[in-house]
Amino acid sequence: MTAGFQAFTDTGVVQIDGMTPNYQLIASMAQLTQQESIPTVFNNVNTQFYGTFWHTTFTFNASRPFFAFRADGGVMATPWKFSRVGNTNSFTAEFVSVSQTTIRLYVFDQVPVSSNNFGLQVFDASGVLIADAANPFARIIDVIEGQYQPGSGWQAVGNSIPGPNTQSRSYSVPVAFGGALAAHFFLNTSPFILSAFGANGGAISWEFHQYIGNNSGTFVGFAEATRYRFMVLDMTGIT
Amino acid sequence: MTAGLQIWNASGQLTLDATQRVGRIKGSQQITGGSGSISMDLSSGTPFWSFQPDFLFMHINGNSPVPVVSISSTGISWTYSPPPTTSYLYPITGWLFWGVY
Repeated sequence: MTAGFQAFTDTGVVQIDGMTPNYQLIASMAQLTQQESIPTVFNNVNTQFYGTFWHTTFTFNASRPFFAFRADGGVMATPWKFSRVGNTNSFTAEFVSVSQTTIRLYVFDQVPVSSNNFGLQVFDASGVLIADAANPFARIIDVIEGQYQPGSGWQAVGNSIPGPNTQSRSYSVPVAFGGALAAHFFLNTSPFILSAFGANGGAISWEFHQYIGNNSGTFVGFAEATRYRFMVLDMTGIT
Repeated sequence: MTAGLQIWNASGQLTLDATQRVGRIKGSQQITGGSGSISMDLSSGTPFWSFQPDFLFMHINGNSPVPVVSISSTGISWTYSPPPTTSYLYPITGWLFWGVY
């Protein structure tokens, strides 16, 4: 690169490279979960089944959004579904929670050109805005992944359904879960067991939560569907 | 800090300094049940990926494999496990994002 702006961490890792869009906060929203009957699975004759969960649906506009969330009071919550509406810039994000709580959704994306008249804006060589000091950056401080049911591929005999396996970790800053992919398991209409993620300031915990039913049966399904993955984001200064 | 960029918000809180790593978008792809790979230089930081599923549950038979993703400094690839049957097969589709931090 012969012109432009770059920034690096004190260990030499690139923060802003002058070419690649940075993930930055473009919207934050908060909604209270409600007890709702939501579609789960359907059968061979197209009978739709439902489950009752603490649930909420967010709708927002973005281009290539990367979402983060946390729920108030350290209540565990799960990203249930994340859909682009047709070929539009409208997205929906659905969450369920272990008990009633306010879910805070943070949408990170390539920042739109704004009329900010302060700060620093960085453009790439073709004039596309790639960083804007007026918007919080997605500051990734950890990546956590795991899998509750070992192995890969379809398993239908001989294995028990994994238990909650609650884990926790602490950070010195307030955090949220970024790009979380939930482990999930179900049989018919019960149980429904999914990753649930709780954050209280810098303390996080996560488990394979038994939203409906329990883990008393035999595991039937793809082992890798019980894989979970999320990034821990530093939320200092972001409410 | 002796060198680097510092950014404060309107409340005077430091929102970025040289001790913090930030995510950058390198690519995204809608994946719909097949395997794929993209070669790309992801060596300018730690590569990461995120899959945002269109759904987690579909048919009652559970024949919904999830993408298995691998990423390295030279690119990203994804595949799905073979299903036990092709009847009522609904691979979990969604958007795969990747980048470096």
